[in-house]
Amino acid sequence: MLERFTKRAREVVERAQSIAMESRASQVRPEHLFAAILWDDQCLAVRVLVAQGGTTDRLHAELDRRRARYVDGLDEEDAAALASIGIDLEEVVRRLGDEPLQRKRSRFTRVSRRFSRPAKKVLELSLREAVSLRHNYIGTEHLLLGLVRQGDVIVRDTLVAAGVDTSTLREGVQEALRQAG
Amino acid sequence: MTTESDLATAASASDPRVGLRAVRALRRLLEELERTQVRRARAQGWSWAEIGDALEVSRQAVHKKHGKD
Repeated sequence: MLERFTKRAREVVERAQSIAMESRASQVRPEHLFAAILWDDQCLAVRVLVAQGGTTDRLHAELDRRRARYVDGLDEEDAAALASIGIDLEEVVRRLGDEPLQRKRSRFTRVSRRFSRPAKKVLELSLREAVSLRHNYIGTEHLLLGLVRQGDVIVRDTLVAAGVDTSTLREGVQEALRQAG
Repeated sequence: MTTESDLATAASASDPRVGLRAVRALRRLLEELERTQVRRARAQGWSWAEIGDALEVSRQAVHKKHGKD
């Protein structure tokens, strides 16, 4: 599928892997793809988001706020829920951290991360978005549409909080493409 | 402890939403702990069979799940 990706879209996929690794996530999740899109503020997807009411600063800030703070895939609400049954998530993470994950053999050090099921779904949906727009390539704009359609909570909440109108996102993409000529 | 946590503690007895969220969070935490420990065991030279025994699952199951990590 990647052969149909534009250079920029391929870079987004690669960057999502690096972001997942940097945040010590075990898999690439939709939020990493979203962060990877936002990183390239000249790409069509970001231009569409700005045209739909967002600003890059707010998008970055809102996404950072929502991304996992404690452990892979767990946020503050999860920490609060765990506290309600007597589990101190920060303490669990702290103790795990006391024994650093030193991998002695290099063959266990992966240079890439697998895509989570929802993240794979995003890629699949971006292909479908491209097809329905009769485009023969997948660009960052299709990745964005795929992300929104997949419905990841972090992505959705970030867009809402940053003031992006997602109801007319597809039209926004078409408009941006018209302007780009 | 944050105010949010205190609220959750207070609400937990009656609010299934918090309880269910805790279940989901616990499941994710469990997955993360398993991944971490399996990786650690492998790094220390444990075989998949030994790890499977410790987790009371088959060697195949544990390899299928973590072999590519």
